[in-house]
Amino acid sequence: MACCLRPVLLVIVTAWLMLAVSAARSETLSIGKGEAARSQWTQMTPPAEGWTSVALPDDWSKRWSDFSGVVWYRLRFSVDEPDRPRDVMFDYWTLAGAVWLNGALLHRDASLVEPLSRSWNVTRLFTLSAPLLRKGENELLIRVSGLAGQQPGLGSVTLGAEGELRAQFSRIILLRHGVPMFGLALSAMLGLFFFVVWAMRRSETAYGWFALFALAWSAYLLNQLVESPWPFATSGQWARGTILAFTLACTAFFIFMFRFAERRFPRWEALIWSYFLLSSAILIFIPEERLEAARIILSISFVFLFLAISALFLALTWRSRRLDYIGLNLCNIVVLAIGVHDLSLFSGLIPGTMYVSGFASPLRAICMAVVLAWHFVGSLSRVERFNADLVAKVAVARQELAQTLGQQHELALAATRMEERAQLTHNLHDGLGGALVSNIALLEHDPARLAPERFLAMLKELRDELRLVIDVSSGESGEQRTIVEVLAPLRRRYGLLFESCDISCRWAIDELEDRTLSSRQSLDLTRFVQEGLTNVIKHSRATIVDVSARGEGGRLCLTIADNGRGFVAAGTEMKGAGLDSLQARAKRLGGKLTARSDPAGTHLQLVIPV
Amino acid sequence: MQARLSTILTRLGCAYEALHFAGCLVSARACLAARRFSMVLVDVGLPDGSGIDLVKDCRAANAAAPVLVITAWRQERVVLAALQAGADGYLLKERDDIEVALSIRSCLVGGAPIDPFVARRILELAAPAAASAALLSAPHAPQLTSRETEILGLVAKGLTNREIAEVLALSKLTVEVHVKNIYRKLAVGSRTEAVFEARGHGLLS
Repeated sequence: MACCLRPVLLVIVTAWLMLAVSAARSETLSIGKGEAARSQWTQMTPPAEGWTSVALPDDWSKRWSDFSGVVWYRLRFSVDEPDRPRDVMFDYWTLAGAVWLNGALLHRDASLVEPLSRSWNVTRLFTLSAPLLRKGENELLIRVSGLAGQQPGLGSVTLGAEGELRAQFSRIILLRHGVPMFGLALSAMLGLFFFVVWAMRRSETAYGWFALFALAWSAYLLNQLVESPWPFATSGQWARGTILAFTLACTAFFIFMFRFAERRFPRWEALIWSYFLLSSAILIFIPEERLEAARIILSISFVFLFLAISALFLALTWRSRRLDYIGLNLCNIVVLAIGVHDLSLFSGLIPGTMYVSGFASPLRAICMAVVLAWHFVGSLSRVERFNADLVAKVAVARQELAQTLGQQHELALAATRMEERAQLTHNLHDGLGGALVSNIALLEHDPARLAPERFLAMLKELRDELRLVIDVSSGESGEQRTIVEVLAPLRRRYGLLFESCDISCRWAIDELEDRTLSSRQSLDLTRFVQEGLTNVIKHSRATIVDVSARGEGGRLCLTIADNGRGFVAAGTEMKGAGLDSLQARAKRLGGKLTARSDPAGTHLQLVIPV
Repeated sequence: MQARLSTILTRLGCAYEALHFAGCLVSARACLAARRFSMVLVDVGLPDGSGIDLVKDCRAANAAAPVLVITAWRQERVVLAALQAGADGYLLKERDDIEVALSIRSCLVGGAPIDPFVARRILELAAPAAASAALLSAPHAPQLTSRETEILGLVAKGLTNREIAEVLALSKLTVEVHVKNIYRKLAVGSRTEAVFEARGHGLLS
């Protein structure tokens, strides 16, 4: 990449030199003329013949086109007072070189054959003193190794009193080394930073493209700073690599601009990538002798691409009031203006010597950093605002939800209370109420028939009904109970009673473990068994009772059989009211009662669905 | 209730003069201090405290006399608390006179009246995995033998002691001894655990 910026840099340095010259009085002297002669790559002594007069700075490709090899420059100057040391400053030599004063070596680059050292952008200052410095005529001999396609030659050489050129030298070093180094560091740092941002957040593609641009640009800037040929095997590869980095940077910048404007132009992008791939292929495969032309064409085309996308971005975001867009546009315009200014200056359209393009790279990097940081912070602020909104909305929603839930809860509570009250009323009405009404009716119609036992039974029934209502209402035994659980206390109690009456009672309870009954059903079943067994104890005079409860499909089959004297013998009372009561309970259980009684025994069978 | 019990007891052959009634915890304790009783019937809900405390007092005063709880309370916590305090039986007031009489008689002749629902609760208590955590924690659970567990299982199914004796080929007396042992184990568990007493007070206050 000695090619692209060479004229610009050259002029910048010249400008600085001229400024310095105007500032200094006295002995500063630019050596404008010398002699040059060609030789072989390996020859380490100047040729005897072939010397021709040249003006400095010299690009020998204009004189000896297609010559790649070593050119010797011989510069002569005279000194009056050899005891006063003098400074000599070589602006550059392209690419590698060595310097002798009066036959004594002053400096030699590390590699004078391929891969060549890269001194094309390196300014050197030497202090010359006695005894090397002689009174009268002195001779500087410069051996330059260069390649045809890379502007081979020697830059301007300046002589001055000792210390006189120091300030100037420092300024040139700053310009040639410091500023690009600063730009490279900034660019690489930004590239890495946004690469990491993109890697962690793939959706921010603009950052990814900017990272690629910045890193490629850093690679491109290396060309101005690196003096050793590493990592390339030849200077030609260096040139190819540099221009490749430049085209990649331009392409990435192109895509970045689209993404930053939050736009996609698939066809244009495909076209750009195709062009990039094509130019890459050209750069890689083009023969060495055509490289120079290809480099210039590609460089110019990509510079135009650079300018085109800047203009396109301006067009895309012209109406936007977003500060990051405005900032990027301003940045592009400044870079554009720098380019236009320097080109105008270079071509003599406007007078003056103040070239500023050397500062474009760090300036752009700083601008981009500011713009992207602004963009980044903007995104963060949006996220924060969104979060704050979200928190507020969540709070509101939560409040509403709490309110709704509270209302629902109250409604549910009210409904539950209503339901409970209704249930209680229902239980009271159906159970206790029903029992009361029927018993009152019985008493009213036929008070004389009512034996004290019946009266007692009525009251006990009422007590049971009340107990059930209380149990259900208080939730005490509202849960379902298994039939076995229901029958166990009965079995125990009547077992004891039958034992005390010397009646043998046999129970058979099968396949009922998992059948459950509600409280109401439990009570009715309990009462049914109680009444059936009480009848046996009180009236039947039986000696054996069989109680069996079997599960049959979805039904419970309960049988109470005794070997007593039967209803008829026991008297009408038992047959009438007792059987009625059993029938009523069977009906309430939704089941069917079959009663068979003869003098040999009584058989009650209740079948209910469970 | 007092009249009902006195009728039942006199029908069972007790002399009316031998019966003493107390209406509250204080007078009951005075009675206990004054003489020895061959049997004590205690209601849980007393006007000035819990009958369960009285059960403990009775146990402390005379370990031999049977103590029967007869009450309207049916909550399992109360039942277990009473048994753990050392009661020999738990009767519900709502039962018929004849059932109450049978239980008292059984108790007087050295038996141990036990209701299927009481048996079920004890079984749940003895198998901590199945026991409700609100009832008792594992350390209070009585360590029942397999025979005792078997008997309790049969009781819970509703078998009478005589039937159990037939099923297990034991004497009825042996079955009753087992039941008494079960009660005693419950009581031992409670006596060693002051914590439980506090809980008992708490839930009855």
